[in-house]
Amino acid sequence: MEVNRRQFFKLSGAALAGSSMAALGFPATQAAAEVREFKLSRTTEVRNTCPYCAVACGVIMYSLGDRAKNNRASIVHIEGDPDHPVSRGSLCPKGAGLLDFVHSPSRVLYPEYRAPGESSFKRVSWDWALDRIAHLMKEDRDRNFVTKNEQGEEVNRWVTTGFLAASASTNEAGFLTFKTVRSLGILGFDNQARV
Amino acid sequence: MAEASFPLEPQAPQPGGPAPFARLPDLGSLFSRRANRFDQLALSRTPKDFFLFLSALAHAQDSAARGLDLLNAAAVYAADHAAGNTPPLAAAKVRLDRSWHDVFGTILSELACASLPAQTGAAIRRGRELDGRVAEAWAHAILRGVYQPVDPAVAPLIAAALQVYWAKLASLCELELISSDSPSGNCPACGSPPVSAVISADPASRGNRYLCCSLCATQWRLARIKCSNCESFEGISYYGVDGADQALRAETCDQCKVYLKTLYFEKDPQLDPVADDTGSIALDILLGEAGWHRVTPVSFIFTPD
Repeated sequence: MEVNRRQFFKLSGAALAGSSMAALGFPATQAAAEVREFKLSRTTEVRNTCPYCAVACGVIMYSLGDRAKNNRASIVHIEGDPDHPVSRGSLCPKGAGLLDFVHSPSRVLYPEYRAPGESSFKRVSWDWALDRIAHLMKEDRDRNFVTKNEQGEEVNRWVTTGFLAASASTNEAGFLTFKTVRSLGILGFDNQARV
Repeated sequence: MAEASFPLEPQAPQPGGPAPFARLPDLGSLFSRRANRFDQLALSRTPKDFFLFLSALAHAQDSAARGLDLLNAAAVYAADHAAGNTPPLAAAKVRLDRSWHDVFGTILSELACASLPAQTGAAIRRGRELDGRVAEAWAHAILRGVYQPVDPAVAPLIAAALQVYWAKLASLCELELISSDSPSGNCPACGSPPVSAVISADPASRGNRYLCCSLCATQWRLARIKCSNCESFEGISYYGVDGADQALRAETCDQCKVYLKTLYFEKDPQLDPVADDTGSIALDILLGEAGWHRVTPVSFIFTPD
């Protein structure tokens, strides 16, 4: 059987001049000469996950640009991934508008902080932001952590803070999020592991 | 909680199921549609007359397909397949019977009426005078992908007859016979390599990729952004001719250096897996110079080596 035969072919201008096209009497050299005016342009298609909700629909992102060092690739189109087992290519209106989200002029690119009473945001470092969040969480937890309910049963819960985690997460990220958040006693919590 | 006001009901099934694995050719439109596409391409491609000739060839294929009855043959292959021999229409096991010679003859006589360059006319005459056994030997050589022994001017005519014969067999094939377990890079109906791929715009399979068989015109589904030759998900890029419309791009694989042209039907519903392959030889030459290969010759353009 030759079912699995695999051969490889390459067309060049010279090969075209000796091909069926020429043998049938058509000006193959003319066709080959024309090609010299053209050049290749490269695009990529990359799989990703919609960041909006825990359904985590698959998307395909199209970007333009060659791989030259100083050339930044630019995303030109985003559509649903038809091979995704859950969403099968469909997207909700938010997901369908992802391209505008990527290129949005008001997109948040770094942590910003607006102090109480201030009218505008100021750029801050990740370290500062994480420290600040940790301090506020600790203050709130120290003040509001409930160890026992009215019946005197041990509950160890912290209900004054909630936690919303990412949709595009792996099982491992879901596991770590659960371990971190539940060990603090937080009950108001949603992440990919719920889906 | 709000459960009382939102009684739990079973969810309505999603409209439509998963996209079908395979699509069999519809001989009512396959070749006539292709002929129209070649006519369109002739308006912008060089050499124009070559594309007009291929349009005439596709019209001749259409006539030959209409006169062809292979119901019995199809039943034989279906039974053979049921006995465990797969794929059902493997090129190596199908016999080229009297009907194939009739198809070849019909194509030649239909073409003889078209106005063509002298060398094309001579090739058609050589085809008509060809001994039946030689014609069959050349047909088998083309099926094996060995083009050296074949007259390069007659090769496209024989290839055209083979396409009609296998497309007819495939159109009579039962979809259930086509197994999705076969190697993804070869046609599950006849085992031949793909000529190109299409990104579907049909409501039932929108956005899905189908590889198009170079021989029997069956289309089969393969996940996108994946090399059809080595199944790699890494190092996949898409190349087009700069400034040309983006409805046709070649999917290239850095791992095995093979490319496959991809036709985006959403961008242009007139595309044809075979006609647009021949209509984009500029892309083949540019990719060939850059070191990429393909798994079939460009449609109807056989080279001696």
